[in-house]
Amino acid sequence: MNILVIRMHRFGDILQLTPMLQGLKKKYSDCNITFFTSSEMYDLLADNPDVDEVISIPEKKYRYYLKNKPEYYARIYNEMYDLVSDLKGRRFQMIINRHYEFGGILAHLTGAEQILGQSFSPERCTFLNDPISAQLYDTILKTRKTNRRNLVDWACQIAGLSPGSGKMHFSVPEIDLFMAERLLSEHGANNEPLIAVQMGAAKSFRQWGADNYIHIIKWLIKSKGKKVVLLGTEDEKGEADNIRLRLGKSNKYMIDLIGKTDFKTLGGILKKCRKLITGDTGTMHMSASVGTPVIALFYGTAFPWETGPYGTGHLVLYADEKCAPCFYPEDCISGHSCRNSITPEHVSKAFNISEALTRAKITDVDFFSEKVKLYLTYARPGSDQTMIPVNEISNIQGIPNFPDHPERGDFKGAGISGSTDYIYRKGNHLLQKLHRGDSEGFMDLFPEYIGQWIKIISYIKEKYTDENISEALVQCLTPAINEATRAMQARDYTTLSDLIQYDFKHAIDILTGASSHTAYECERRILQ
Amino acid sequence: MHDILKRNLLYLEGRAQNLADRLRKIDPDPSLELITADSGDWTARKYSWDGSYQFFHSRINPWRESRMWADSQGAIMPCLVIVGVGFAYHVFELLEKRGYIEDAYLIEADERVFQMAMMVNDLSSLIQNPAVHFLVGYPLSVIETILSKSLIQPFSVHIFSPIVSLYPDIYNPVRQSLENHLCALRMSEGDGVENLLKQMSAA
Repeated sequence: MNILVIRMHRFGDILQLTPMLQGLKKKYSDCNITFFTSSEMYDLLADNPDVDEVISIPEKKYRYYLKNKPEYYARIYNEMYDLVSDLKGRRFQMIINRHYEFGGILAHLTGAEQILGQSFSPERCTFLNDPISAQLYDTILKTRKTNRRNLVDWACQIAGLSPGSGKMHFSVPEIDLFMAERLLSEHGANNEPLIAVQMGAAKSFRQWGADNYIHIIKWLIKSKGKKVVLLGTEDEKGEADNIRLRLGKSNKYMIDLIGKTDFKTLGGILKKCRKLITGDTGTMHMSASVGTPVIALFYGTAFPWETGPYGTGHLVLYADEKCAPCFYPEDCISGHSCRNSITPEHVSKAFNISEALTRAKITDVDFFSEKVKLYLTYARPGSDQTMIPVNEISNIQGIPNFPDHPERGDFKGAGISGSTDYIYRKGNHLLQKLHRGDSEGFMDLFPEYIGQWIKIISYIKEKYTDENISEALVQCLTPAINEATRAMQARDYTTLSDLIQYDFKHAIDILTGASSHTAYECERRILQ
Repeated sequence: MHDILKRNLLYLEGRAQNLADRLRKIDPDPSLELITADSGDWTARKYSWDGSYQFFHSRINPWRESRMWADSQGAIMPCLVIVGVGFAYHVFELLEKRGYIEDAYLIEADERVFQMAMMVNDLSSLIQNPAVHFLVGYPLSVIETILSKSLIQPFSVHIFSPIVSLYPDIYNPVRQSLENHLCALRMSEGDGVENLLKQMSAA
């Protein structure tokens, strides 16, 4: 079975498809899964064991160029034409499109025995090609409030699987865990328990507000003795500065990592934290994917039955207003008052309950609020995920497997092999771009590749116990990185390609034990 | 080296007398330096005014590099264009991979680079192949005229980035022109890809 899955952007939405991918691999043991996405999302899936190949395009750049630089139309047209020809040639039996119109047209052009999700035909334009997708569309449009199925389970059903066919997954290789720990240490973390807080959400009506976050951060620091790790994108930097100022002396207990994390580091940081407090964000799904419990705040347009954190043991605070879930936030006449229904006190109470749950001290839980509900997520294989009101937890027997809670310094990543596989694939991906004439795309990504090697050197220096290998690698990699820097400045693609194919490949061989090349041999090649 | 050049020029005279004459007359470019790769094959580097340099082909193994390049190409059509010839390792590899060709247009911006290629590699099989056309040192307008007349059915374009990046001011307009021409030919087939682009521009 040859399967193509299409989802272009929104990293939370892509992570929500990972249980479906796992389910497909279980159902069709010899299947080959190709995931088509945008370049920015490549790292989310590059080392997912259920994905055989990731194909990506710089979709954002294409869209920008198509609107603003008409001279690029022909190039983009030809690249998309070649892409469609390539996909056609792969003869997919099944295409699962989770990207609506764009994905529908691409699925139609590619062709497959079965197209699930949105499809396209010149006569009908876009249409839903399978009954489950049509049912999902109807549900969201007409009976959203009564929907009790998470989008993760909907995706499984669309793919012909039973709900609960897999778990959320995001690989954090050992080196990224190490880098996450180093980043935390550089910002003052020692061995104290860390709680992550993600303030922002993409839309302003989905943001809980700085005042509320300050309140809860102060409480975590002063009453619970925790250090708080602030997460978010560059856009939220102003908000973070505001919080730091208002925390006064306590701000030394806050670690501001806003704008400082890529996907891998974010995964590593979350893995190192005991909990995450967040709204309905991509970071929430990332946390669920790496096994860190979430306390999620849902209000406004966010509906927890639909997009709540997937997996057992997360807590969801839901502002269950009459008008919720909101469909037209721009027309709200109450000024988004639902955001204020959830108070910092609700969150602190939820936090205490979450702590009790993770210590397996589930006794009677008392949480009462007229407007706000507190739910515990409960996922079982073969069933839809459900959410149990916390007051009823004591009635439920045998809720197993709360997400684990990694302690700092406890390295249980995929080992060095996770990182070497990743960087090997990344090198091939770069060469492919260069060979296809996309030197611009190659240059955009090459610094990331070098960045990954710099991470590996830091890791080797601190963590490798075998001094011979460590020395050989450092002596091999240091001149290679220097030469790469020169070649990048000179746009010397040949040297960059040689470095990927030979010098960095040698380093990978040494790391994986496939080669016993000495430092001298590596160095000789570089200096020639 | 001079024997190879003589031999190549001899064959070239039979195909393109003007080009052969031009290559005979020009002096070698002092900014180009020939270098032996680890494999024993030739490569070269071109120096810029600021002392920085770019290599043409792999310093380790140009043939292996070219095989990988050829293997990475998408569809290779019977009618094809290679942008950036350099020492032509990749040209040989691509043509071998393709097998039968109707027409192959090889675009090299710099006559001196081509002169160097003629010195180091035996290009006689390419030169003698009537389906292979060398467009060496031509301005854009000439290339455009030749290709718009010759390329009347869909073709494939194969960019060799290391050479193209040596002369971006010359190669980029050539590439743009080829892309426009290919796009127009493909669109006339009504393949539906424009729906995809329409959606991308609208959203």
